[in-house]
Amino acid sequence: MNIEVLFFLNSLQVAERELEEKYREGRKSGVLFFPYNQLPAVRVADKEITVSHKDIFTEGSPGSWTCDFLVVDEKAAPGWEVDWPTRMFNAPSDREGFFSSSNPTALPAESGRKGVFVVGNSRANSSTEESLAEASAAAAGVSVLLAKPEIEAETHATVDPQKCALCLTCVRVCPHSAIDYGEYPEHKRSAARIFDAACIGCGICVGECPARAIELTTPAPEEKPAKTLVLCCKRSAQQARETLAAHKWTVPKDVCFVEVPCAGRVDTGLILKAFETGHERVLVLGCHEDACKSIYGNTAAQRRVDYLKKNLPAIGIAADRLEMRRLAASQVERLAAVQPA
Amino acid sequence: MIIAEQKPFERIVEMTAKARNILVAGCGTCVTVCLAGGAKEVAVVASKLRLAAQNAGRKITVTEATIERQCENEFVEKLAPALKGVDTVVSLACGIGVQFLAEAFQNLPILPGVNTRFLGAPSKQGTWQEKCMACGDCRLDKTAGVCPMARCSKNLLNGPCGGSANGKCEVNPQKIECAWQLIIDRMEKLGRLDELEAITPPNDWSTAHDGGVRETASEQAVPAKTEAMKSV
Repeated sequence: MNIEVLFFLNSLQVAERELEEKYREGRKSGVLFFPYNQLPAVRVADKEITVSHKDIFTEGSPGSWTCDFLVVDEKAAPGWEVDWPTRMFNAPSDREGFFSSSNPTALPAESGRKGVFVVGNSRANSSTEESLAEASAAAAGVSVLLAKPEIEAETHATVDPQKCALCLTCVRVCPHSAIDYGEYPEHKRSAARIFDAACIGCGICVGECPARAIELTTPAPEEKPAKTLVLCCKRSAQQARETLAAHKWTVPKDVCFVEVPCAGRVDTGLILKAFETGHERVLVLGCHEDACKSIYGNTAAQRRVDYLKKNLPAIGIAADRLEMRRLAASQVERLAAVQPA
Repeated sequence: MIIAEQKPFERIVEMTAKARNILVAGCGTCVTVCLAGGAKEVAVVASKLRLAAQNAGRKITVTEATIERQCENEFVEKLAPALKGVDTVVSLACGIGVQFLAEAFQNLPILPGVNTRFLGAPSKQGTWQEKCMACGDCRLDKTAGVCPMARCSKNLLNGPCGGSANGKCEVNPQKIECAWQLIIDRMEKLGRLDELEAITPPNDWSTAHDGGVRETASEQAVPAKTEAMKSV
C-alpha cells in the first residue's frame, strides 16, 4: 500500500527521548516535513480536504495538497490541578496556562514562589516518567530548604507602611507571590507586606509602586556620567560582564555598566534620572523571553522602555537614545558589542 | 474612587512655558491608587520637565512634593513650605485637588497635570472602568446592583435599546458591556425578572448636576472648633 504522509509544523521539538530517532526514521521512510510561520489554511469541500501551505524557505506562493485524512495535534489545556495553586499562592502561569513549563531559569518543579513546587500536569503536559522525575526534584528542593534550621532571606524588598496607599499593585504583580497586605501592629495601620523568605529581590514591585513605598537597594550609576549607561540584569548581562572581565576585557570607554536585580526593576523614573544625570544613552539589558527568573520582569521592562520611547521626543530626547536588548549569560558577544555611541 | 489619567506631556510643557520654578504636587489618595499622580508619577513628570527645559535651553527649577490628600485644607497647608520661591504648581491631583490648591494659594498659578476621567474601579491591573456618575439618587436596589445611569451609554432607565447585541453596547462593542443585559441577567439570578416589567418614569435630574452646583450636609456632624464657637 502506498501511503503519503505530510507533516506541517511550526517548530520540531525533539527534546524528549527517542523523538530525534523517530524523526529520522520518518524521513527515511518518505515522510515529508514542512515547517511554517503561518498556519496552513485548510479547506474541506465534498469530502476532499485541501491544505494550502506557504513555504518558509522559498517564501513562494502556497503549495496545495489534497488528502484523505487530516490529523490535528491535540492541544493540552491545564486542568483543575492548576486552579488551586493559582488561587492559593496567586502564582502566575505561563502563556498556555501551565506553571512555567518552558522557563530554563527555573529548576525542575520549581514555581515562582520559593518553597512551593509544582509537578506533573500543572507544571506542563507531562508523562508519568516526567512527573516522577519532577517529584524527585521537588523532594530534593524541599530537602535543601530543610537542611538549615531556618530559612535565610535573600536581599528583599521592604515596604514603608506610612507611604503605602494600599493600591495592591505590588500584590497583583509580584511574580513570586511574596506580597500580601495586612496590619502593621507597630504602626496601627494596614499596608502591603512582604514575605521576606519568599522575596527574591527582583524589584518589579519597586518599579511599579505608585507611592514609592517599596525599597530595595537602588542601583547607583557612577557619579561621573558616561556617554552610555548600561543597566544589566544580574542573571544575564551582569554574568556575561563578569565572564568578559575574567578574560581581561577592555571595557569600552565612556560606557558605564550598572547591575540591576532584574530588568523589571528598571522603571521610567530610573531611566529619566539617568538622562538627567547626563548619560546620553540608556541601554537596558534583560533576559530572553520565557527565560526571566521573575517570569515577566523582562517584559515589564520592555513595556516601560516602549512607553518611554514614545514619550522621549516630547522631552527633546531622540527615541533611539533608549534601547532594550535581550541576551543570555552565555552570549558574551552581545555585551561586547555595546559601544558608547 | 476618582480615576484620572496623565495629560499628554506636550500639554504640560505648553502650560508651563513661562514658568521658572515649578513644584510638581502629587496626591496620595485616588490618583496614587490609579497610577496617575502619586509620588512616583510626580518624580517622572518632574524629571521630564527638567529634561525638556534643559533640551530647550531654558533654565528652570523643578521640585517635588506629595501630600496625603489635596482635597483637605489641613493637608494642603502642609504644602506651604514647599512653595518657597515657586512660581507655578503642576498638580497631579484630580480636579478637586487642583481647585483646593488654587483656593489655598491665591497668588500662584495651579495647573492640572492630569485629566479627571470618572468614578470607577480597576477592571484589571492598569485598566479602570466607570461605575458611578454621582447622579445623587441611587437606584441600584432596583437594578440588581448594576447602574444604568453610569453604565448604559444612553442612561436608559427602561432598557435595553436596540443597540444591544450579544451582551455588548453598540457604542463600542469591544469594550462596553450592555448594562441592561447585565441587569436582566442578574435580576434573573435573583428571581426578580418580573419587576422589570414596571416602567420607570423619566428621571428627575435635579439631584444630579442639572440641579446646579451641589452641596450636601450631615446634620449630625459636629462643627469644627472654630465654626462651633461662632454658632454658640
